[in-house]
Amino acid sequence: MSFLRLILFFIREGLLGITRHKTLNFFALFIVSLSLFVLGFSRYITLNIYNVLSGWEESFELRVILKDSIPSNEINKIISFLKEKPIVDSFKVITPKEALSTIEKISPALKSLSFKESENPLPYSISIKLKKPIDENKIYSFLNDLKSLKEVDETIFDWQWLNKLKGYLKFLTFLSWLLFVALGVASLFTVTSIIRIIGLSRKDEISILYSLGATPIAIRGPFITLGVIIGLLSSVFAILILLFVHIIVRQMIEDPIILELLSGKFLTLFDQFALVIVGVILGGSGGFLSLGSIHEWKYSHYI
Amino acid sequence: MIRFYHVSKIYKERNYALQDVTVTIHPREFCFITGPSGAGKSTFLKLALGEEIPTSGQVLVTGRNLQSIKSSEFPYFRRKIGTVFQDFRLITTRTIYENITILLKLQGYSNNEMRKRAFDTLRLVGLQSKMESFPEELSGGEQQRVAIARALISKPNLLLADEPTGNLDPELAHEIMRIFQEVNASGTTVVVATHDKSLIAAFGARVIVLQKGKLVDAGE
Repeated sequence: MSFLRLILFFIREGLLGITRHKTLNFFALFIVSLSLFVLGFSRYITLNIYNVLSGWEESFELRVILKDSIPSNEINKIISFLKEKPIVDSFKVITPKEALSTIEKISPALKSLSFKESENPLPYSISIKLKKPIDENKIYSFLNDLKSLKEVDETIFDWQWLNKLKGYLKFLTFLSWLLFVALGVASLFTVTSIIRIIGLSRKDEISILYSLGATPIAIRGPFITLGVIIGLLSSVFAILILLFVHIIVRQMIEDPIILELLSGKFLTLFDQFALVIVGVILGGSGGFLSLGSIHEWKYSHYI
Repeated sequence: MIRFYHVSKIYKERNYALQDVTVTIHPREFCFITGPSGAGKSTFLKLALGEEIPTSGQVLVTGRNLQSIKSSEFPYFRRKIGTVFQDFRLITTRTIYENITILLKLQGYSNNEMRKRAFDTLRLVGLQSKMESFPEELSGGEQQRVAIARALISKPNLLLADEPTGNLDPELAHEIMRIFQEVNASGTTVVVATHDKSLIAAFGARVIVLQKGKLVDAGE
């Protein structure tokens, strides 16, 4: 009970600290919000790109183009070959007619050409889905097996660029973390300095409390709480600004692919909670560090 | 209650603030520490409060050797000692009630308990009607009485006062000393550092005399 009373006292003192030094606290709020916004924004972007890439990876297919005018019994041979391969999850034979209809859907201009069935220039192809997780070595061995078949004209498998995109995404995530660490240190320094300035304005109070027998943690309590409040408010601001950006971007971008890539989903609840926790830790640490060593705070009018 | 055993305190450049002082102040005693400016009165009190560490010798207060107390234990040790300073050291942004109860608040006391103690203690110094005032609204004498109330609210065994009447006129000084006598009569050891000889003469009690850091008279 007494601990709860102490916490309530710290919260009240922390809130008083906010109202007593509005300009200083506003500056701290701005800096911490900015760094949390950068962290949140980079998480938001990477999350969306990652979601899109994961979707692509999920629907990723190996396409086998067969030679022109291949007889149907030869196709059956390939089907038997694929059924024996454990790496193959499922496959679908695409007839020239189906291929043409798909192309016409993508590019309506082709419709005007109106090919007769006998004039269809497209060959048979097979779309193969591979079992997850995808093992690159096994894929290339499988690709070589496919290429060695005399019925196969070409294999299309753009796995590498997906991997490259994933690599770029990892680098982007790393850069954003690096930026966050730099901004986080700057925020910590700002919060620490600002709360120290507030502490200096209450220097005599601190030294009086210490000489009366207040423990260092009890003296630090209101300052830690002030930092926690700054961190909490900053993270809420950062999330609100992110939400605003999310809404604006969704209204501005028309291209569905770019929209999905940049602004498909907002941060998850877990991400938002994590951002709040990071803000609270940043602010609380700043509050804790701000006073340094309590016994060094001397009463200014000491006789 | 307080025992100094061959205590010396040297500040910078081999300047002795106290030199080989051996003295004992007994429980429930009322005693003055006097001497001219720079005699070492404040250093004596700071050493007794644990605010300074002796360069040599041993300081025992309320049965504990201060050199054996860990720094983390000092706050708890200080709560058993009431302190009153010449400059009152009140927190100007807080009311009288908040000033005297803040340490209790930091210890998690309930509002009811704090109210009761604050009222009782302020009544002892005649300021029960000033609970909601701020220090700057009070006279010097009243501020010093608030400082005494703050020192007494934790019910200390020992009260140390460093030139408590230095900023007050003689009439108020006598009033403060009478409060100290009352506190002493209730069983608290009171040590008052002052250079005011008339005050010492008016309130007959044991007098420890220091001069240039040396004990001239232990008054026993």
